[in-house]
Amino acid sequence: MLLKFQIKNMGSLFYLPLLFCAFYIIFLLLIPAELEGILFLILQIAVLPFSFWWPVFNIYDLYQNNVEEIFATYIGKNLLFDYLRFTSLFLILILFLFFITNIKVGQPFPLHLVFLLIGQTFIISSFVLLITIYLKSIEIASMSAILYVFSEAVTTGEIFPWPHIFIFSLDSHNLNVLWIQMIIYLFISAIFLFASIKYAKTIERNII
Amino acid sequence: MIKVRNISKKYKNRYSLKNINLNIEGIYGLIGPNGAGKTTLMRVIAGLIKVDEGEVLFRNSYDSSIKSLRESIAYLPQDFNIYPRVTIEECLNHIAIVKGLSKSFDRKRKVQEVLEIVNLVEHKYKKIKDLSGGMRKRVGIAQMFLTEPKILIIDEPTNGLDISERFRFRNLIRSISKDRTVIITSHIAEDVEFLCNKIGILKNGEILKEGTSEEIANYAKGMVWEITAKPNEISNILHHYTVLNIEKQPFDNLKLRIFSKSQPKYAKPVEPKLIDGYLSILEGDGVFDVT
Ligand SMILES: Nc1ncnc2c1ncn2[C@@H]1O[C@H](COP(=O)(O)OP(=O)(O)OP(=O)(O)O)[C@@H](O)[C@H]1O
Ligand SMILES: [Mg+2]
Repeated sequence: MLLKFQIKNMGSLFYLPLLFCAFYIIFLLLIPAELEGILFLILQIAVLPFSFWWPVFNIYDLYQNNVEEIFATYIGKNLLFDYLRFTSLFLILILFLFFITNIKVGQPFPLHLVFLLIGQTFIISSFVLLITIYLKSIEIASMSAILYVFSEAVTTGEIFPWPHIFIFSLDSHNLNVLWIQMIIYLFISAIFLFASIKYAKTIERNII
Repeated sequence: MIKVRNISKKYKNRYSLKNINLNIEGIYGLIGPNGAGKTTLMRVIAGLIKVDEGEVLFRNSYDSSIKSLRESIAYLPQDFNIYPRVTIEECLNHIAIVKGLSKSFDRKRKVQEVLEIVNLVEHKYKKIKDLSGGMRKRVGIAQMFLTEPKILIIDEPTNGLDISERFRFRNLIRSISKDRTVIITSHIAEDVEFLCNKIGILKNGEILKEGTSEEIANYAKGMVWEITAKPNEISNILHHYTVLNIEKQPFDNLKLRIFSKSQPKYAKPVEPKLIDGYLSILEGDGVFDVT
């Protein structure tokens, strides 16, 4: 199996995103019909941000246990492949949740939202990966991701002067542009990934 | 042969390495106190960090193209402590993948081969977290041989090992150093003496002296003394001199090895060892002062 080593190495940390998916499914089953509207929001804010979890904790040993000094010369292809494998796995999970949410709601969500979810998954995971590698610190990177998601949720994507990647109101949004947005997100993610590989090859701390 | 030419490296406007010049061949040992810059110098030679000034030149017998050169260097960091939850075999297999051994069959063979080098074949199903410090270091050594290294760089090979593990590990390093250039660092003069044919003493980012173990030892010529004393005189001597060693003798006597620039009373001069030379060189620089 492709990710066998990585999953074993990650230990119980691997299961956290799965746990949140399970919570989501339970929530989905319990929620009364009138509250359907917020389901998609919860999928975006409480489950999807975990897209960074696997790619980032996969490189835990790199910066906590000095593996970087052994790998710096060689890393590159592996970093990219592991990232793509984990992100694909996560996308399958998210799209599955999206699919069963549709079944629950009965009247399906616009299919454009698939583009949104794919774009968000890539942009979050690649950005947090880049921060982790640039600062050589999983703590700072994952904390800033959590803070971002939290403050976006509280302010419903307004107020803060940074880009807002979540959609809080489906009605007021032009869904037809979502596929263009996805292309842009994927493009930016690719840049983040190349930058990640570049910085993974240097072991010097950039800040601190 | 590795020539280190005028290497300088600053961190936050402080020199971690200052105008370093070295000629490295055979088994080379770097000794120096904490924060001397040993690890920094190793990383520079391994090509892991950039320098502000100077260059590292690799001479003869190595292919000169950068890629093959980089790959002919194997590096073992100071704290090698990775992948606690997986087995030795899985760990090495993964490192081999990252190092570019993509064919599964070749990789299996190579992992088996390196396990044999470090004598860990019968432990290969043990998890890394269950290993002793010495075994973990041996996994670190094994990892270096997944490629075909010509240059081995080992930071603090014996640090944190218990006595018997230390001896076993030293012998292992000796046995793998044949036909290779090896650079090790240590705090422990004895280990460097055992392993290295050339030694550099590093302090505050500067090389104070470079030479063979005997040459370094000679810096303490006339500064090492032996004195025979009774137990009740010990505290007085300890108060005035740096005592390097105390040995029990017949009739309740103690033989003391003393480091001192002037001759203590009743003391006779003895041949200095590497540790003495090392101490005298550091003292010349002002760290070592017992009055
Ligand atoms: N990445 C870094 N950023 C800032 N300062 C650094 C960095 N790496 C090393 N230094 C500084 O450079 C000096 C030399 O450090 P180095 O780790 O090379 O010493 P060392 O001889 O290996 O010490 P030890 O025996 O403790 O391993 C120290 O003063 C250290 O604080
Ligand atoms: Mg060090």
